[in-house]
Amino acid sequence: MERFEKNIQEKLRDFQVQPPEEIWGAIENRLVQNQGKKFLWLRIAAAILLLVISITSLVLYLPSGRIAEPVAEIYVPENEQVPADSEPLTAEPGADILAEKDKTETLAATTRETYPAETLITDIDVLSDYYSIPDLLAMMPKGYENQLASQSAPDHGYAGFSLRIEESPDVTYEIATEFLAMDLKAPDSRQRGFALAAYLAPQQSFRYQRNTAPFPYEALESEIYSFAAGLKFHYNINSRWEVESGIGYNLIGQAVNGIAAFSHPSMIPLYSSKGELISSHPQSMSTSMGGINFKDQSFYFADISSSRIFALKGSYDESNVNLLNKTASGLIQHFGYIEVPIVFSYKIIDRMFSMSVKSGIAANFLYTNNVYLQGSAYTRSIGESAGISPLSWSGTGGLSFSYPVSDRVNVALEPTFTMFLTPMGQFRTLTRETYPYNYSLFMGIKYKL
Amino acid sequence: MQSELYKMFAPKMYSLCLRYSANIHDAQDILQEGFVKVYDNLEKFKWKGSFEGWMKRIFVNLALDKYRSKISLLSIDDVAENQEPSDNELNALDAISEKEILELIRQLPDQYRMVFNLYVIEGYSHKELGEMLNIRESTSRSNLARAKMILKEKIQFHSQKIDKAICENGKI
Repeated sequence: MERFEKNIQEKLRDFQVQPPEEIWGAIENRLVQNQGKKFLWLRIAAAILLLVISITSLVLYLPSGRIAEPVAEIYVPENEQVPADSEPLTAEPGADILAEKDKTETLAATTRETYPAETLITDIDVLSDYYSIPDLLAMMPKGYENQLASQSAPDHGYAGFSLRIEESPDVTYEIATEFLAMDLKAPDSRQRGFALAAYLAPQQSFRYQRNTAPFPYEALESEIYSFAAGLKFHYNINSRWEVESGIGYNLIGQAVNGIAAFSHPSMIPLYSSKGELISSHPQSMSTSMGGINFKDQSFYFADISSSRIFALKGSYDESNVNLLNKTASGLIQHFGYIEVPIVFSYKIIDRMFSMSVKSGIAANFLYTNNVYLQGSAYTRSIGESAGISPLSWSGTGGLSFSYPVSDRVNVALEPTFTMFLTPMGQFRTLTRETYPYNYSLFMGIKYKL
Repeated sequence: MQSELYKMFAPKMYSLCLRYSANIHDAQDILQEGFVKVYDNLEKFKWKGSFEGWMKRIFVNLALDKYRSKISLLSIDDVAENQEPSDNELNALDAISEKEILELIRQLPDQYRMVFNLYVIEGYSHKELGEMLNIRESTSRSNLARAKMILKEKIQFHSQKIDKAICENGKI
């Protein structure tokens, strides 16, 4: 190598130039995006698995809608005399049935009657009023061996007691009761069980920022109108309580105002009067919902209200930028989340119309992330927001009005408020503590399975 | 860790990017792409050789990719390799700063600049350059010679300009 080359090599080999500060912000944005994309499908798969496990658990472990053979039995040997005027037990509550009867007569009944538990027992207190152990003991004729046993079998979900009166080795009276320990009242079989619902909700979406870290350009951002849609499984725990879960798509975001876009043919740099490049791609900007990376090089973006846009060199200068044609102004940030909720509702009015209050939480998996440029006649995707957490948690609450259009089909209207419980951004430095929220009007059809 | 790595190596890598690029825009693009690539591939580095060398190769390869993506059909004449520079030329080189040399290199035509950087600074051979840039070995040699000739002229001119300015200011 000749001396000239060697001299230049020595001069430049370790020469350093400090890059502009904006470059690190742009690199950080790219890294965050790459990281989010890397695990997105894994997270969606985990959410679906969680949903399948939840539904399977509900089906397998919640009590079924029917009581398996709960009976109250009164029986005595057939060889005993049967009073002619013995009345069969009716299906009304135990107090009404038995208060008018002579208890001894009842015990002496010679027919074996079996009634579903719910027809005899509406409440354990009623039962104890008429079959309390002291009463029954007092009824027993002297000289007879009495045996009173309490029985319970909580592992089967049933409890009850029985009374056996052994008059002789051949004659035994026995009263045995059994009832569902978990729910003394008979469930309404029409209300219990699963339902499948499809819903669509127009909604207004914006965000809340914690006072400790307000975004300086708060006034330059505003709400948008979007939608949510999805499928849900409902399960009626009883006539009042209901639990629901499912999978939905929830589109939220905000409008970013005061951003102008100029048509800027790709790869043609824009120079100042001194011949310096005043801007170049990729441009990026900061918002309360993450940093925007502009990918469409056919536009040059300028902030006409503040200085939110990071241009690699120079800032907005009307004298230069006006050489280009202004095409549109205003950006829309859209975030599409796959939502897996679990919501409980309690029916407070149960007539022809029913009204419930509902509340729950949801896991939100970031699925789509777009920034649109809004022109007077078109909307065009020009990039995406960086620094958004791939998983966020939200809380929801609202009212549900339901009307049955047939035995199985209900239509429902649900004004609902939903808000993120965790900040939507991954890094406080990029997105601060921003909590999106939306007011939604869910409209759905529910089909009872 | 990512920001620490950036702080440590960005100035050196930015200098490299500027050296390979005709404009700042391209240099900053390469710098961004390069660091994203470094972070994505950090696990693949075996810590056997020089880390800085590994990073440099990433940035040089990106600069080559950028060059290939907008390669222009330049008519490059073969020229005879230059003679050894005179003492005047070497003195002129000593008189100008690294930043000024960098600027002069960036003003070279794309292909000359690539050949000059790869051969003189990175130390690749003409054979390797031929393969990297898809040119003949002899073309690489002549490109280098032409690049050096242009640079020497520019350095000489630049040096004379400085001398003249000093004289006009009455400092000599």
